[in-house]
Amino acid sequence: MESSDPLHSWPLNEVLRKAIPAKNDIYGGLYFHVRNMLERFCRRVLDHGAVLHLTMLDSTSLSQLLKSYCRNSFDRIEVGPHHCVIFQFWSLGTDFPGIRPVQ
Amino acid sequence: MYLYPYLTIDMSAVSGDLRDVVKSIADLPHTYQHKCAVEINELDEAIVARNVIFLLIIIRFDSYLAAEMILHLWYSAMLPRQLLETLRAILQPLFDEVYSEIRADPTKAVVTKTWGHKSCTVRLSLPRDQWIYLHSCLQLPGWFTAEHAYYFRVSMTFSQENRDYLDRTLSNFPMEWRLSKVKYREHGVLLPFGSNREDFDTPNP
Repeated sequence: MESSDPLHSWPLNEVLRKAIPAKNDIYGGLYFHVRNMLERFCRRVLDHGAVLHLTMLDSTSLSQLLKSYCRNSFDRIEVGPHHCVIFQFWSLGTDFPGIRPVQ
Repeated sequence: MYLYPYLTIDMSAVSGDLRDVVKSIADLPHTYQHKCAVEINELDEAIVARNVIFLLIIIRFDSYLAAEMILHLWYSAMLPRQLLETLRAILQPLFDEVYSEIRADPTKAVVTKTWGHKSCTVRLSLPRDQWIYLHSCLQLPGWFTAEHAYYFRVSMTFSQENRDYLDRTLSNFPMEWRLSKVKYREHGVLLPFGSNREDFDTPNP
């Protein structure tokens, strides 16, 4: 479950990589890092296109919904702490293997 | 070169916060010029409400402002009054519209609404109870003032019972970071250390 403290939610190595005037202001660094990432996210979905679909389904219903899309694979799957985690990587220029989502 | 034409991400996460969605899409290479489709499934009504608000902010506000709004709604205990009033002015009519539809047709178990801007589409397929929850989630009880919020916050984060926890937490911090951490615990507003926090005068609902 996500923490309400951003210090525990974002990778610090990335936050610290970007120098800000007050280097020891860690929450200031988090502010700029998260803000910058959010802005890049907003611009990308608006300019390059995205369909963002929110649902509140149990696992059975979700499985049926995903099957109805007639796709056997997804590019990436994130699963919560009560489930195993499966990542799916894609590479440009090769055939995409794909894997089935966990039921 | 073969490019996968449609990037899809299935977020079947018990903890469906948007960090992974934001990071995955923000960090896509410039060479990927195609659309993304993201399925975000979450059962906690409070997290869903937050995600709904964030996604609607993206398509209703300029990206620069949207990023600032989402950041503070996500991590700050207090907000500028104007931010909250602007948010209510834009989002509340959307929730009111769906709420009216639900009241007119109580037989619908799930209501799907789609909104869009430019190339981005936000589709919300939510049960009626969640739409009812959304209808009031931007409101605060009139008695809950900034002083109440500050009192509750400080009484929890700096209480005698939590003193040991705080001391142990700070002792594990690099010395240079401790002041920044204490300021965040006290004021609960994510900003650079020297920034003016006076405008953040309204509790984050």
